[in-house]
Amino acid sequence: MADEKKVVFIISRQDGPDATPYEQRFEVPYRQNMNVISALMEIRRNPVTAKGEQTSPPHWEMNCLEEVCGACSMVINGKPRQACSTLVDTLQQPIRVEPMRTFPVVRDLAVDRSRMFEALKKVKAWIPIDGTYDLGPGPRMAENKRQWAYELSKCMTCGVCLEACPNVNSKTDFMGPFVFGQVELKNAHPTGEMNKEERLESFMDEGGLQGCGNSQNCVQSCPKGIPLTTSIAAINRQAAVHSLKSFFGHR
Amino acid sequence: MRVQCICYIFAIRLKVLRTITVFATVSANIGGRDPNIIIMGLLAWIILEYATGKPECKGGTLMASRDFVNRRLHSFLGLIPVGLFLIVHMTVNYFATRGAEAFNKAANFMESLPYLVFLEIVFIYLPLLFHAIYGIYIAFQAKPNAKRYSYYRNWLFFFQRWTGLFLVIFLAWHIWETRIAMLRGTELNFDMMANILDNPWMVAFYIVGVLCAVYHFSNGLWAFLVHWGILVTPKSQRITSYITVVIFILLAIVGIRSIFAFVNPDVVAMM
Repeated sequence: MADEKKVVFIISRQDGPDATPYEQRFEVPYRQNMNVISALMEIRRNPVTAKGEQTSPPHWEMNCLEEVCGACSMVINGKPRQACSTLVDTLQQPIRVEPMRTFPVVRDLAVDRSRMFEALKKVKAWIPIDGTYDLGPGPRMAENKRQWAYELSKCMTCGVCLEACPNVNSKTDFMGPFVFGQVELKNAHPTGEMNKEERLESFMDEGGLQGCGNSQNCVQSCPKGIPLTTSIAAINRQAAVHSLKSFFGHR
Repeated sequence: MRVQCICYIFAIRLKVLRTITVFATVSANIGGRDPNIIIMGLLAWIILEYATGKPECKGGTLMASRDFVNRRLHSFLGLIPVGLFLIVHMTVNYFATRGAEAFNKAANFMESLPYLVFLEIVFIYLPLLFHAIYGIYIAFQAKPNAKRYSYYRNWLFFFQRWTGLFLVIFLAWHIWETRIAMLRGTELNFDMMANILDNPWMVAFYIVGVLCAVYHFSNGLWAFLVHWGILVTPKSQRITSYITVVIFILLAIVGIRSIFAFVNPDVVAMM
């Protein structure tokens, strides 16, 4: 092993939610087709910096390892993405890994994405099916509608669109681009459609759909290729129609 | 977060209030003691109170939030009447390319419109003030990241905010030099603009101002169509984006030719 290839990582470390972030450099032996997670695991196995100092193992979140859970989202070389599906071979070295600072940092690379789940609760992004008796089967969904709705259902609340959006920050309470896709998905569902107005109204409240400024970073950044800007415009249309209807009256 | 927002709103409110007070006092003393100025100041204050006031009726009611209404109003007023006025204004200015006499005739026609003060206040000053004040608030809410995410739309987003902020300064200057100067006795004619544009710095300032206005209008037109849910598919958004580029180029030619018409008619003939 005379010429063992090394991969250089610069990892942003932060010991706790209020601690000051600092950087540490690590060198990891190269393996073919390795992803960022496997490199992080290697560092965790042997937490020694490039200078040879022993340190604490870096902390991050992961779960599915196949880009469907969204837990391992982090900023890799300036762009938010999943560490599991980001291959080292496609990255320029040194590879800089940081947490998505749009969210509160818990420790090192782990962030708290609770605000996304709170947002989904706020806009009632669910389909009420419970009754005091059996309501029977709901209306059927047309196949062509199901096909585009399926694309919206791929959202894994990973937080990448919030990190990329210039209008999601500490100065606003904008809930973020992913909400548009989820409201459109639930509004498109034949049973969910029955609560369309409620969903729209809660999404037209503070921090709602009006926070979008059309930078369209979300659609460029979404790892699942969800057509978020199409959802944004579609929900804008629904909201415009709804606000006019509720102002002038509709019965 | 909330506290920051509120502090910010207060900072803007105080600053604008101060400006308006100074504005009103100065013009009342120096100018022809025109009551319009006082009325404008009062109306501006009402808009300010409305736009930056506390949100009401959260949830439960069948009313959209004030935030939503303000944003949509901002988008709407940007096109109608502010955008339309920009087109009319630039068209009138373009008469300057046909010579001083043609411009004076067109400008005098606009000046001779009946109930002009009403038209100016309702269709220009009020919408423009709301658009500007709320626009400043929107612009400072963004955390620009076009360097990191250098996508086409993100750059347009970034420039939309910067041109807007520049236009607040440019328009304040422009209105001072023309409309307020008129109240103070300067006659509105070709020479008024020719005198303003008699040094290269002012020409440069006006070129930048006109280009910013034309850009802000063209891109704002696209944003309007998305905000109101008219352009939904990526294809319609893309094609409209090409159309707005054409609008930008055409209006930029109109604007720049008009500016040079006041500076040197020979240059315009070559353009």
